[in-house]
Amino acid sequence: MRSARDLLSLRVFGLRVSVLFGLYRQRLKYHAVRELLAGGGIAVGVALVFGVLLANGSVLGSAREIVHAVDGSASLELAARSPHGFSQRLADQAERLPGVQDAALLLRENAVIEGPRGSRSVQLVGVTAGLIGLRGSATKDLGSGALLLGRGVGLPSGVAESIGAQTDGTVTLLVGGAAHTTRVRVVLNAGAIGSLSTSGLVVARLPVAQALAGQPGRVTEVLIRATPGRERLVAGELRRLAAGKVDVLPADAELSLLNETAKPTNQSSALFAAISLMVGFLLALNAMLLIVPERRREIAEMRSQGYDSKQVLVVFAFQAVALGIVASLVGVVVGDILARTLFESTPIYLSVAFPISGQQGVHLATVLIAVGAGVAAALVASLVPILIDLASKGPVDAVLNRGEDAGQEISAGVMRRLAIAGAVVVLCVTIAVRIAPVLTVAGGVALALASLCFIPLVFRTVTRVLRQYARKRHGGMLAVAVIELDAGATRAVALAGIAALAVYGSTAVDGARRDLTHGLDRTFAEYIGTADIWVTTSGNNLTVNSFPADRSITEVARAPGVGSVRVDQGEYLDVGARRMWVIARPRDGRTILPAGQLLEGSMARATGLLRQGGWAAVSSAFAAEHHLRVGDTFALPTPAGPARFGVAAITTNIGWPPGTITLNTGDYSRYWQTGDPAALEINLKPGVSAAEGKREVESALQGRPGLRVQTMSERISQFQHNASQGLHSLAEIASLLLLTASLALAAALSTVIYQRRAQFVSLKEDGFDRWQLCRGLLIESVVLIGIGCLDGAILGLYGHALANRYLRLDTGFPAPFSLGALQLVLTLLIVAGVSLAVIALPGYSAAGVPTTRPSFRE
Amino acid sequence: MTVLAFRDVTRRFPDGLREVAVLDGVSFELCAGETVGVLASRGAGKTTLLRVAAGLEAPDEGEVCWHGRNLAGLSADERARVRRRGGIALARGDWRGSDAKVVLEHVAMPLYSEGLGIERAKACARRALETVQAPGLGYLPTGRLSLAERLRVELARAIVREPAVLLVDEPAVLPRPKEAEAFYALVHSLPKQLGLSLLIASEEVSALRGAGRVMNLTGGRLYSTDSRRKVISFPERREGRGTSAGAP
Amino acid sequence: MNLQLREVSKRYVSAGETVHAVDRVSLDVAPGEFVALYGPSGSGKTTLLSLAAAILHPDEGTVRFGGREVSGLSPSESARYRREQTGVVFQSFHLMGGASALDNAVLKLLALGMTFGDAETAARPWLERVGLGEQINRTPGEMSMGERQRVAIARALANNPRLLLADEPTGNLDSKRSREILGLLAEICHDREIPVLLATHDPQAAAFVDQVYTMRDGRLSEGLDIELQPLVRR
Repeated sequence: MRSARDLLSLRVFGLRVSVLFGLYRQRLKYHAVRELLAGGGIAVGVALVFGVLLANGSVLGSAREIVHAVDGSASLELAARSPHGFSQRLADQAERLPGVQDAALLLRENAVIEGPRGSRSVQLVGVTAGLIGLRGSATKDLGSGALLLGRGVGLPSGVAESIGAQTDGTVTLLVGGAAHTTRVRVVLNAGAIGSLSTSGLVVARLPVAQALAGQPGRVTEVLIRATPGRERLVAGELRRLAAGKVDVLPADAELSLLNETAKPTNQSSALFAAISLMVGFLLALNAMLLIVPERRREIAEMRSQGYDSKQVLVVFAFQAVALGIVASLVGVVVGDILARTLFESTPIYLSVAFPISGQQGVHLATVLIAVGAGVAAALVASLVPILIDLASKGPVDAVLNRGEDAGQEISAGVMRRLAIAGAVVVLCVTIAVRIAPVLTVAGGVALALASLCFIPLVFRTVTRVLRQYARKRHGGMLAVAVIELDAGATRAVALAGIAALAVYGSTAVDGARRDLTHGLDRTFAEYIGTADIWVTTSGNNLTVNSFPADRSITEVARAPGVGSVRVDQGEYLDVGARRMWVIARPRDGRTILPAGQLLEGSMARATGLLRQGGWAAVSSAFAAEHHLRVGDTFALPTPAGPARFGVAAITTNIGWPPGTITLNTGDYSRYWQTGDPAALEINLKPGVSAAEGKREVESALQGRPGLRVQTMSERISQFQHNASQGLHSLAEIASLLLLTASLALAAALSTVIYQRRAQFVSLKEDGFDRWQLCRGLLIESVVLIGIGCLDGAILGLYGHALANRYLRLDTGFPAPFSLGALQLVLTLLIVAGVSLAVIALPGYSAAGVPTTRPSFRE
Repeated sequence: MTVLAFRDVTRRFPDGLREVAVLDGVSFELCAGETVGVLASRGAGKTTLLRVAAGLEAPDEGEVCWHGRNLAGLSADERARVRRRGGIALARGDWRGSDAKVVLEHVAMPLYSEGLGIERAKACARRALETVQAPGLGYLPTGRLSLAERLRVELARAIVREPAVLLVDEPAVLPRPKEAEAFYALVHSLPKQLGLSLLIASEEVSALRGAGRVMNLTGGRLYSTDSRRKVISFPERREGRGTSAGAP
Repeated sequence: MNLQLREVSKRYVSAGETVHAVDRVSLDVAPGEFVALYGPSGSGKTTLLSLAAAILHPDEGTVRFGGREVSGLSPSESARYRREQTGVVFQSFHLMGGASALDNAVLKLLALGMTFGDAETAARPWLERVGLGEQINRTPGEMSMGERQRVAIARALANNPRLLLADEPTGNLDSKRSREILGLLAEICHDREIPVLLATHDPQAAAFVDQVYTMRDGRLSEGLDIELQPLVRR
């Protein structure tokens, strides 16, 4: 209590802190609307930034937490190259190596769990007591829990809730094409396993998990803690033991794999975060610009009453910081809500390959970044005009004797310099992106800045052209609008800037997203279109989980409507930082490579080589990373040891971000030492409908509840759904940005219009009537918004083209460029429509200002 | 004792392509406790004179001495401090505060720069409003003030700083003679009541009634007149064909 | 066409008190007649001009121009009257801050629906007449008060008004400029045969006008008030 009073009576440059608060309270009391507008702008920016950071961070953050929570103090791991893992004997040998302090054996297997109220994809994890020794935050208290598990399983509370499972209830696990009913021994809440409680796991003792997965005596991972100082020795010993068939990796290798996989989403989100911040800053700047004349008068008043410049600065900086903090905190809350509701946090495609949880705690660092950005925006926006005034050498209260609109003109020099700067930025971005495509995202941010640089020039050019037109053809309110626009140039440019940024962001990023979605849709249609019916394991999204080959294939082949059955195989394989999707397709298939995915090489030759064996088609990013051209050979770390393949062709990544390797099933069976299919491709006899065929295959497979039968179109739409879901949050951020920017633009425009009522009185006294003023306002608004939209659209299209190039050439996504003219028109219509609709009322009402005495007499 | 002195002060403003000397070698002294009136027609430069006196703008030539210190040699911030308590306060005739703010907030504002807390500043502001005979206005929004009330509030904003020199830029805008007379009487009562020196400039002769000395500002020059003569004589016009406008 | 005010009154309520800004004023200004209104600030001169321009409407009495009553016009009709018939020099200039002198001068012509080019052609000579031919691209912020005032005058004259109302048009000008402007107004008044009504403080004006009135507390009287006489030479 005492310290609070001490703080309030503290003086900053002779001003009491209590007075600073008091003056800010006054400001809130009298200028609530403007503060709200400025604060709203900052809050919108911060909300978008924070939402994006959060949605993004949660994927990687949760993975990081899970890895650390499980790994604890482990520094190394032995990791299998296929889900069949390696023999437990090898793990036992590793455990006994000199220098190994603790070792934990794990078996991971993708599975689907079904409970009373639903099902979901999970990772079945078999654990041993050694895990406790690693003292990971999630596992150190598992000791008693693991013993409790007995022959049943433990579920994190998140999984238990989502499928409605309870302790001692039963659940069904679909693993490797088989179904097992088992008992839930324990539900593990956050108190027991921390952040793991929300992740998609099922925990069992290792022998139990091995039995469930049908993999007795196999493990997929051994986490190892070496005696301090002996890590390198242990790593060497492990490598000797692994004999090139098992990977020896740092314990957190999984993270870099996830990073690589989630890169496209992360980068596009980062671009959005940057653009959102800029929009928020512009909104705040705009709100501040609105009050500049009034604020300058206030400063002049203060200085003529004995405030020195430091005191003036302190008063306004305090207000900016207060506004920034409050607005940013509001933004953080809104952003958190956005991240939790609108931006779906985990793309399905990521959760297939990585055990990541749905939601994530908010990190203090993220909050600080967002709030810091908001406060900085408020400070810059509100202090820059003040500093200009304080630095000027003229009379301190000169502004009191000058007109309202002083400082509105943008000099030709400034305009030219800005435009040149913009052109230089565009040029640099173009060159940089050519040389180092990774810079595309940074380039996208730079282009957004460039779009702002061009606005004054575009503005001047447009008003010049309109002026010429009005000079010859048409005068009236068009001419008046042009005069008004020129007279309020700074204001107009700032307003047009908001529209430009919104249109830019939405055109560039959403354009790239649409290309990608279209490309993926086509890819999947090609890839899946090779068979009428697909049989895979349940919950399988890519063709990566295999199931035991037994009589089912022959049974399916015997079904009356079935023409042919082929076996597809496939698996993830970690190569360097990439978790590659290995696609193995039968030699006798109609097509091995989807036609549209070929980037280098000839289709006929590549297909021939792939059928022949010893050749593989690799995706472009992988090829570039390993400097591979068609005809080169490379070594692949397979479960049977390194294997050499020739490059038959270079393809797109077929929709899997880290990349793909396509080979034939013969090679796959040899190196992965399994004949188990990951999918059955079934072609039906002519005249048999897909639905009939599906029924026949399902009845032939009776007794295999772990398998799923899909028609071609069902599978295509499932793939497309997964792909678009992963990209969905981008579309949502884009529309949200567009909508908030339009609304904020409208709010700022309305305020500007309302502030000009005194001037409308002048015009009316000169003989303008209300409808003329309304017409003038409408023309002005349309021109202003049009300038922003035009500028944003042109740079947006360029950004879109660069992003598309990056997607195609450097990440290897199938993403054919399409202009998206319809989408662009729609975007422009939304911005223009929303803002014009919103300003109609204030415009009409302001134009109706009566010519009465007070304003006439000043 | 001289508190404020002008020595050959010149202040020029650009007018189109040329420059106009609004103050052209003006010299005078203001002594402690003295009241000096400046008669000037519209546009003659009385506002500039007072602004230079208050240190709001620096003269192009000459010195403005405040207790012997040349204000023109000080930085803008140092001059700002001269406008605090015990210094020079200017009451602008055309002051128009933010309309929504209540009067008390406007009047208390100058005191915060001296480190006063809100409560004490407001107490001082209330006293100042009483002094200008407008005690009831404290909580009125400024936009609702009449012209006469607005002038009084502006006066309160100046005297709340307890200045040693009060400068009044009298705008001669009060429409009714009664109101104007009351306002002039109030202004002229302040030197005695508060122990300050007063420099008042107006285009109305009646606003200067009660001044110990009256000067005339014409064509950028200041002419002294003697207040003991009943009639104020106008100086010769510097322009024109030399016709002299004498007293009727 | 002549300007005719009959028993015109306008009242305001200020701080709870009724102020008779214009109190039962009757006034006739014939075509080609140049009339000056003297009077202290706040005596009702500006209000009287506003009534003549149909910016304000009287509480009582009628204002007619060319026989047509303008005191009862609707907002859009009075706007039309202002842009088509009148030229008003406002005391506060009514200039648009960031716009050039030329842009400011053409504004009113644009309200008449002229093309930009025609409006500029019409306004440019007037800017030259008031001595601003060299400065048409400067904005009011870059101009002195006197220059701003002259822009306002050019703007009022540009539409060739049939009634000219000027509120302190020389208030910010030196005496040489004042005489030029007053001479210009007188010339327009006599050459075009239009009524011109001038509200002023300027002692020089009296030498240019045909008729002088004094306003005090809203009342109009013919000739010069005794208090004003020492300031004004005729």
